[in-house]
Amino acid sequence: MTKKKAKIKPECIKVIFVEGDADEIVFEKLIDYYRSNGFKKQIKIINTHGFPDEKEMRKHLETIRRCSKTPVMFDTVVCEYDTDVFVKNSKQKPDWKMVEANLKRLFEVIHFCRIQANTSIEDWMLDDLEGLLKALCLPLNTQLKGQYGQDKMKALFRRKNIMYDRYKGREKIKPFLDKLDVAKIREARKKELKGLEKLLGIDI
Amino acid sequence: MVSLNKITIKGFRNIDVFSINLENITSLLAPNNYGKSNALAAITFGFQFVKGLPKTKLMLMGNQSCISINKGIAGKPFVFEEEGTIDENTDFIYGFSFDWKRNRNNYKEKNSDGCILTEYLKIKNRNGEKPKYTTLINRTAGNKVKYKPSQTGRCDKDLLIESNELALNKLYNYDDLFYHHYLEAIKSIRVRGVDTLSDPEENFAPRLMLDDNGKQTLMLGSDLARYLYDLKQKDKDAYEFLISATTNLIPTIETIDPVAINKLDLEIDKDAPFELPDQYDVVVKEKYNNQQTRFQYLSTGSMKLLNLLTKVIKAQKDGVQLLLVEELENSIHPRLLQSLLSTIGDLLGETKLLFTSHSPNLAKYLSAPQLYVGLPSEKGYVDFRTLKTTKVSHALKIAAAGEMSLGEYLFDLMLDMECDPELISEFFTKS
Repeated sequence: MTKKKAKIKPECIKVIFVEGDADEIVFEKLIDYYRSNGFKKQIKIINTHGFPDEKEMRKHLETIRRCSKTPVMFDTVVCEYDTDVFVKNSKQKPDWKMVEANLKRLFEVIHFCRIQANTSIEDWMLDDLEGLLKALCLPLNTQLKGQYGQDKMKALFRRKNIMYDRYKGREKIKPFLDKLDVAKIREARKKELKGLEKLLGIDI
Repeated sequence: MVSLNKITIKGFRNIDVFSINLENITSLLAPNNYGKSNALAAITFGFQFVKGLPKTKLMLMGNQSCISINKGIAGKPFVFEEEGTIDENTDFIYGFSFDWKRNRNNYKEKNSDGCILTEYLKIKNRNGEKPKYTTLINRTAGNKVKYKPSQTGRCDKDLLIESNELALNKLYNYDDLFYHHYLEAIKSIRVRGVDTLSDPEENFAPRLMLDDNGKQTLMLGSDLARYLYDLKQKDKDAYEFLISATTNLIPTIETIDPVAINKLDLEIDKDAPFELPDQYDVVVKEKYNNQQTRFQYLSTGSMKLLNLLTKVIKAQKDGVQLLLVEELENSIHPRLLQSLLSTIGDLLGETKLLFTSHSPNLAKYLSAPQLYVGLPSEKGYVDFRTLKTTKVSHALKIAAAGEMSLGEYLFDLMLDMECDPELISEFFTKS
């Protein structure tokens, strides 16, 4: 009689898709904050270097599934994106119900949620304006210039002759963004983060 | 600062009509051999004509490389119109046309050969009670030019002018004309081209060559290196921002330093009034190298990026209104294009950029008004058009269904589209 193979327990994976370096830094800090408050599970942050649409998410989930040595199960998939892309009319709003249904069907995703950074992740960073101005060594009464959060951030970094690039500026902007008070940002963005925190079981 | 908002051109190479509204960044997308370069050349030609002396104008009117030889538009006059704003409250429309100088005897002779046909300048003050355009210059039949001599007068005063002379240039000499500053502003508009196709090394590094005796000799050709050197001395903020932008796009580069070198060791008299300038070079330090190297050791793509970004900041600092770039994506990998566009946007300031491309990877980062696609034409004309504003949301939906961005969809549509006038007029603005 052949011995039955022991069923390997699938690895439970939580993924947050973010659309650029700036978003990645903010969410790394946010997860660190959760950890410092008792959250222990592993979370993978995937930077799609552009709007994390269904095609991008499918590509990355497929890569994880195929490259993993053990079976995987996508417990939670979170899609974080800036809404300015719709304001500027260069992208059609996805049919999120369809996206969720497709991901659940194709990858057996258990929980799916979206985080809308309105209108961009830079608006979140500006929730701790004081911290940002201190990090940039700018006077605390510095006036913000520009229509959108991204414009305002660019103008602030320009004052220090630094190019602010949300998609590919990790090395340049991280030293400054690291000094932001993430608790302050979380407090201001509780509504947007509600879905994520519920899925992760965050109770601070 | 004067700002250009719209340019219209007719009768140049394979251009029947080419009209473009200029955003901060605007693109012309088309396949090879369509006429993208012709569109940029036509713009440069138009502004060159405005600035040129009468003698130059005559030469330009006979420039055979610019005259259309397309069967459908051969012999049509060159028409140029620019629209823009002079200051916060003043809009202008300036235009002219001329007949090309023909050189075939059997061609039906025209008296207007090599002559300016029409010219007009209209100004609108947006702060006025009923803002409307006032005509300041009106040329309707060759040498018959009328102009407005005073605030209260009409545009009916005759101006004596040669057939190869623009009234704009002649009236500019009338210092006391109440709209002299408008003429000055329009004459001062600067359009500059950036060549991304040639070897960028030529723009930066002085080359060491071996002379007949086997001795190293320094060759000239380091304008951008000199510019960077001067920028570092005179405007440190702009220089640091440029370097930050460049090293952000190429993170393996740690430092970029323009240096003055003088390897020629020229003898100079003590009482010589002038000294030949030093030679300049650019040296870079790459993360994984144990020493600085000359700029020319960088990859072609990196050299092109620094070349491009330096020229963008130079255009901005020189007050250039419109920068023309051929094939912006040339030598640059697709993932970098989004950041490149954003970086250029930050460096441009008030300068506007018009570039040509045949890359869907670049098109996908542009919004509807920034995308002019080359539509098929049965007669081989250039026909660049943008989406109708009422069709943007429709096109976005189709693009999303195909998991594409608007730019990618328009790019595909452009390539797949048959010459179907109904479909074209359904989706696109009139040319």
